[in-house]
Amino acid sequence: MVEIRLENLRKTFGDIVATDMVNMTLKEGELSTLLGPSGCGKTTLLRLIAGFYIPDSGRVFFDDRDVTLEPPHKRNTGMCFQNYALWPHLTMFDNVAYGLKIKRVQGRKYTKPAIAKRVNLALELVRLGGLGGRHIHQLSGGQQQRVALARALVIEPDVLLLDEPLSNLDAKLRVEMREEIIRIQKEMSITTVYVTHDQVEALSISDRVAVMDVGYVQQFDTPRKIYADPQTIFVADFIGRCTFVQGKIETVGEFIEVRLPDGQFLSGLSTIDNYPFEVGEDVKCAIRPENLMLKSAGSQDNELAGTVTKTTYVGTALEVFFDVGGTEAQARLDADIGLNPGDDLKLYASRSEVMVLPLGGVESLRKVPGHPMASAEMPTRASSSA
Amino acid sequence: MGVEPELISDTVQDNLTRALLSLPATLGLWAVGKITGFVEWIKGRVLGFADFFADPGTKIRTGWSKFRQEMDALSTAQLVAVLFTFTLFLILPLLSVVLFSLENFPYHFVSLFQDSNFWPWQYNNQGELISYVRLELILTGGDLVVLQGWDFGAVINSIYMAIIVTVFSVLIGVFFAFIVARYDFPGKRIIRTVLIFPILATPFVGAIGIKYFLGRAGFINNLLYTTLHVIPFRIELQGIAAIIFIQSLSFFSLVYLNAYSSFMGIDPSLEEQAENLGATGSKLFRSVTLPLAMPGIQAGAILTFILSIEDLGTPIVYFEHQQAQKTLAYQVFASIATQSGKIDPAGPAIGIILLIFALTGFLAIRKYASLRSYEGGTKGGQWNPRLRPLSNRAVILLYLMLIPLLFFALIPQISVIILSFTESWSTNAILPDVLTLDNYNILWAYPDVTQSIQYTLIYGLIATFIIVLLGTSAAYIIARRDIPGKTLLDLLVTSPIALPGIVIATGYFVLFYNTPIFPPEGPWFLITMSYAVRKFPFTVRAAYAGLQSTPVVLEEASMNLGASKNQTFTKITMPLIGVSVLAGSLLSFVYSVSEVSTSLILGSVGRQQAPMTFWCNEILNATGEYGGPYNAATLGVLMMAMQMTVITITNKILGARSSAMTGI
Repeated sequence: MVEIRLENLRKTFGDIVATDMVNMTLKEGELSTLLGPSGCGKTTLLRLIAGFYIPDSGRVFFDDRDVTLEPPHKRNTGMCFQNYALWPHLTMFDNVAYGLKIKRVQGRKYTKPAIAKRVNLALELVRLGGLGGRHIHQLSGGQQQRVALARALVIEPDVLLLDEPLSNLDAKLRVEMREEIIRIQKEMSITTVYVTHDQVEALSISDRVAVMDVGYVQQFDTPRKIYADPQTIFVADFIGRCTFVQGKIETVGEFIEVRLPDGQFLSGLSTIDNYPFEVGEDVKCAIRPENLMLKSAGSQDNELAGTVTKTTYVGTALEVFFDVGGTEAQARLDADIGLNPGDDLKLYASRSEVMVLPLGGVESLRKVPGHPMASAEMPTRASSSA
Repeated sequence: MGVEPELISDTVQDNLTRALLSLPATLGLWAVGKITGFVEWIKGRVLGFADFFADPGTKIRTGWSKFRQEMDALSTAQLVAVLFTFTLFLILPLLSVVLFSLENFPYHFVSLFQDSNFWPWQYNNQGELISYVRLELILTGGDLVVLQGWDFGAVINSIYMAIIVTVFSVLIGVFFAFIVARYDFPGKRIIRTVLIFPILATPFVGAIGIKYFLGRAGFINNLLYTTLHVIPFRIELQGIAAIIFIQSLSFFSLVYLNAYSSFMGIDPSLEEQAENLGATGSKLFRSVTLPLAMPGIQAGAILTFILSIEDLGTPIVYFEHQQAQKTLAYQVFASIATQSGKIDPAGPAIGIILLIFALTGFLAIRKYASLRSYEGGTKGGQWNPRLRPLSNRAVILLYLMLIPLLFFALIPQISVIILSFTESWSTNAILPDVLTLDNYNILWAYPDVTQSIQYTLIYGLIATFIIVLLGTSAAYIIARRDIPGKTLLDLLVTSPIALPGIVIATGYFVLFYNTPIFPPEGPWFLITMSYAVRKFPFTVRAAYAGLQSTPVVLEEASMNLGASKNQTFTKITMPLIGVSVLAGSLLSFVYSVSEVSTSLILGSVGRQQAPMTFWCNEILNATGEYGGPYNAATLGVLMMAMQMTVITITNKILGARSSAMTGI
């Protein structure tokens, strides 16, 4: 088990910046997820940790060991590839045994019985005991995935790397395998990095989630904090649903008061600790649909008025879309209320549920003293043109 | 002016008229497009090159650090070995030919064009233009009609000959490929295998058979003229007409293979979509199927063009007819085929002209056909290609068409086999009157010939061994290592398929004659190396294709589990691509055995060490107990037997990926 520390990582492919200014520490025994839309750089980051890419700049540490330039086979990571990458010319047993046959412990190698014992244990761990003689093409997708997992685990890696391991499975199997992975990961308490684009998956299995977009780590936090205190507009939008209305700051105090273009007021809280908001600054107020109420819970609550444009009945609730000065807002209301397009609507939101976010995206976090982004070195002109 | 009508007539006549009227413009635009595209491409390459010289320091530094990152000790050693071999046995010999021909520049080139064998328009002493162009296609004498070609001198002869061969090959090849790829009928398996044979029986062997089997007292004449009296005279092909006939029958299978795998590689849903929109029959073929298969067909066509120009085997068999000597390949051969090792400086100059054609063609293949056609082909297994069963009537019709075509396609093989068993063949008999096994005595009656069989096998095996070692290395570096200049490396190792063997052999003479590796009377080492270099592309392409269809993650998974690059290469990569490499190396071996041009030229200075093809030609032109076509045919049969065994095995292994056989 090791702690993985990434410092100022940057990787480009030709003119395309795949990932940049990555500073994060993945703690021992934790399961961290890299979450983001396709092309956000999450797989690049995983492959930087595995050693398949060498960063243009920045360093990768396993504990205090600098492994930035170390080739993949010297890092002792166990990786599960997206399409499993099982070798078709070997049996299931031989696939799993491969790493042990290669492995040397202080210059000595494992005996055949020792290998067999460990392989069988690993196969039992993934609930494939007794099937070792099968060929890869005789296995179902779920079984292949578990072989890949066993193959990665059997070498007792310091780090387990999972690249969208469940993406090829059907919904039911995916949930089962997800539970399996968490069980094994906790049992072995192994530092794990898990790549996915499925936000539900990420929130449900992770100790911490790194939300990525266009190569930047937007936020690296516990699932709860990611949902409740998104640090950028992208995170608020990508995780769960959100209504965004733009306005100008009128006052900054315990709460931040924002004037909307159509004259309404919203009062809310900054989700970013110590962000230096200024009066007159353009910001966005983000409100989760479930936090918009029909009735006011207190006199301090925000009012938000608009015209209903569309309603969708989803069984447990009625999703209401309404227009607030040109922006579409959404709310999740009681399924029984009768609302029709064209109706005027007034909703209430508690001040603590309105999230005030700066417009600048992840770059604006550099203004926060002590933030990991603030300590990241800006790429120099020379290296950005290279 | 009125508005353009939205609808126009659709009668056959109107459509034809419109098509004919717009033909010049269409063709012109097509040609202009292709040519400018090609020029732009070359320009891009050259500019890329110039870009390097604009700032060599940085480029070399970043290139070097990239190189260090990508390469470990083993890959570096592999790369060095490949580059060393190719530099010494391909680049330097070619350069030496160029330099040799530039001696007294431009004297040799000017004098070439003052030779009427070479260029038909000459000025005589009075300064008058005299044309040596001969346009008689038909010569008659008694009951004999001889068909020959036009004669424009060696340069133009070679070009127009190659163009006609290419056209015939494309027509026959695409026809067969489409039938086999899209229809299901009884006997298809056999036909598929049979169609691949011509590619291996090089025109050289086929020419021996056809020259005598279809000669003036051969099978067809005695059947149709003497026996059935269907035609009023004997027909004989000679000169360029004969070369065109023989080469077309041999090279069409190149186009066939490429077109076949292109047709198989077309995603059926693309054709189904077109049908869904109302296109059927020939409209569907012209608008969707053919364009999608075009890269493969073009590759086959250009390759045919190159091989036709550089083919020495056919002209050499027909050398008695003056036209056959007026081809570029024969001219080079004639200028250096001496036992003294001396070279007439005119030879290299002709060689340069050949080389220019070959290189242009080769670059055109890489530009237009690229490798995409091949990669598409490998995916063939992922879908079920559109196969339609044929009704009984259609099958009969098909066979009525196929049988004559197949008969002609197999004439080279059939005729060589029959000749090899012939003891006597009277002038008017359809088939030989007396058959015998005695012809095969030559294989052991004459020590040099017996030896040549062993030598051929040994040369082929050593060459194949070198090819497998270096070819796999080169393919691995090209497919898996991102180093600067790897496109150039790819070009280098596939180029031998297009480079004329005669020019390479000339280079060996210029560069190595009378050195320890090429003592007088001792060409064995260079014969082997010429096989190794010339037949390299087949293995390198097959290995590359194998690597392409093997996902990189399979190797990454191995490294992730602690295996080094070398361990990964031996334990994962090699087992996975082994079959492809095996298939490729079998091809390399087969083509080594049947290699003609370097064998003939290098063999001529060391007859004791010469390979089979050399002796095949010697016997053909020899007189006496063990001379003449019947005995020469036995060597041909032996070669063909080896080739067919190997090709059947390879075909089994490669399956739908058969275009790997052409090595492009």
